[in-house]
Amino acid sequence: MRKHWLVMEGDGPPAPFQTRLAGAGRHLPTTHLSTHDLMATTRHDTHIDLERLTGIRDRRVSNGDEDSYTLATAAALDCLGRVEQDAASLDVVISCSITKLRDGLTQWVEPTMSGAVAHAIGAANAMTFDLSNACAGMLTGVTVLNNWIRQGTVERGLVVSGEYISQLGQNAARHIRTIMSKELACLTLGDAGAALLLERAPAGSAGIRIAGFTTVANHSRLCLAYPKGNDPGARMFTDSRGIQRAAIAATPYLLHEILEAAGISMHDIDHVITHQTSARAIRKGMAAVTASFGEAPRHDAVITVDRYGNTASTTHTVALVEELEAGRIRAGETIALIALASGLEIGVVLLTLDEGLVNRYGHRD
Amino acid sequence: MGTVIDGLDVTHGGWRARHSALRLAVAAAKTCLDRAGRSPDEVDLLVNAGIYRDRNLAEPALAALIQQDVGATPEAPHRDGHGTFSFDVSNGACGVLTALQIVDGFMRSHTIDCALVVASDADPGRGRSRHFPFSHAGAALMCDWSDDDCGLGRVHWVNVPDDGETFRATVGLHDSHNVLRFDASTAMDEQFATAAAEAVTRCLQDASLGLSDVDAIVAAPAHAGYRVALATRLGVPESRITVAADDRMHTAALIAAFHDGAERLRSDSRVLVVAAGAGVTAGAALYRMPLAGS
Repeated sequence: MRKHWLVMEGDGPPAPFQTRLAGAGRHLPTTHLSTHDLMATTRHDTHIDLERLTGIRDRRVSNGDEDSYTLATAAALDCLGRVEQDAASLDVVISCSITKLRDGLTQWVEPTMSGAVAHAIGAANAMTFDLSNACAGMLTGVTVLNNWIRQGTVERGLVVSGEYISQLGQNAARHIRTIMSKELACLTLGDAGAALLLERAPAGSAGIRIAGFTTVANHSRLCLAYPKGNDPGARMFTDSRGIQRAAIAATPYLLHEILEAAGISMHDIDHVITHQTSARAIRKGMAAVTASFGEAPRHDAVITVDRYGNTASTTHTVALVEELEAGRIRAGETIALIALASGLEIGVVLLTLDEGLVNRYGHRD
Repeated sequence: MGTVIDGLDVTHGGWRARHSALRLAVAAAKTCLDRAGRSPDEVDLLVNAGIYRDRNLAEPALAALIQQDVGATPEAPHRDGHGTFSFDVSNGACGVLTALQIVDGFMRSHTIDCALVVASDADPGRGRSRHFPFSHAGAALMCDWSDDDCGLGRVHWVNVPDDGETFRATVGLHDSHNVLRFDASTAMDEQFATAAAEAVTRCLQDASLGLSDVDAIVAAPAHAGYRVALATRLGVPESRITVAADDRMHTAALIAAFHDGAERLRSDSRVLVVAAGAGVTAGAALYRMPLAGS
């Protein structure tokens, strides 16, 4: 019988293996779209100061030349290339994007995006499937793959996502009239591809310490995205305040639970990377966490939303690569990746990185 | 030791559910829970493998809506309780097998004790689709863990990449409206059967078994042509392969086939589960029926 609220590994026999993060890659389109320029395209005079509301100054967007498939493929190749891993060694490729746009704004429902990406990168021996869990998709994929690796089901796998989602912002710009619009959150979105390579490591190695998830389904209808009418791609309708309220109410309890299971305290966490919705929401959420624990993690929560916007399921990886490249993460430090997504999905992945990985990104002690 | 199927249900769409994969999944899940004598709150993990859904919904996972409507611990976290985790997987007619493999991993690590796999498809309707080829149907599987020598074995997969030539479903603007459309090759059943037969070969080789050691073969999709082609490639009479009675069933077809093919088997019987879908991808696994009383 489970004792925790979070679905996470319990008190059973120890897993035969450990999972290490063997690589992280990303791909960002080169085109910038500033919040100022995006808000200049709204059809109605909205009087919304989006930059002040969200802290988002800029985002990267595809001009139509890149889509979910090409973004995911480029990120997968970046990830494998950085650590010089051959795609043929992959046992599994899991694609976790919300958008599955290919050939422009055509959503591919079948076959899977994972199969297409695996084929494009040369992962000829990998089993493939798509996983969908809104903006928690990649961390859900990590949770599934971590479990398989720990149990010995597979040895090495890639969790990948390509989000060509900025068209929701373009659609919303045609419809938004006031700050109360349910499509306001669409204006925060940016495009990105991301990939995480996980592999088997000897017990006791640095790697994923614990991963836990839950779905607070009473809030499942607070954010819905689907193709609608004659707008290309899709539209998204969000009760942002409702989501923030529910997330702030539930997250501290779940963090207490997972830290207790891991046997560590809040001050043992060096870096926190949350889902990137808005700088203001992240700071407000972290203030609630700090108040609940009476202490804060060692560093302020990572914020990349100001530069890249909300890139949906890829945000944690985009931010992790940013921190690694900047040399701000050292081997052995504890990182908490926190997923907050429509569903309402709340998940936490605690991990440490080894020197082998950190050194690949240019940082050496 | 392995993941065992503790109960299942297959639901066909009536008039009310004809545009709602959500309603179909919820109906199947509720009946499945009732039959297994389980309360919704006992479900630790809910994996939805259905694809065609209300409004072609992209976010959130349909599984979260199913969880709420089934009433599986939808409330905020609190002491002395344990929550439910839900998400979707998509792998065509193989989706249920993928979901079972995920469930098996979490059962094996003692992360969960009870899981529900659901799969449903319905025409999103109201001008949102063209020539929808599948039946409106839903199914659910209740999964448990057994320490006996039974349950789901290792799943073996084969990919034969075709860039969507064999079967493709897309949503895109058509006459200024977002429409779900389908393209299927005339060679689809043959291509699926070739991949499925290869997965079966790998599965049996790994277990050092032959088809004569298997008591039943359950397969998806349910097309008659696929069943014939698979029987030919495996060298068995067509009658040995059970597929869903409704040959237009999509993601729920594997559960329906299991229902029909394994229902009268005695405990300890060996079932070969095989599925193929768009990609082309195919998976196969052996399932040993639970021992009586386990």
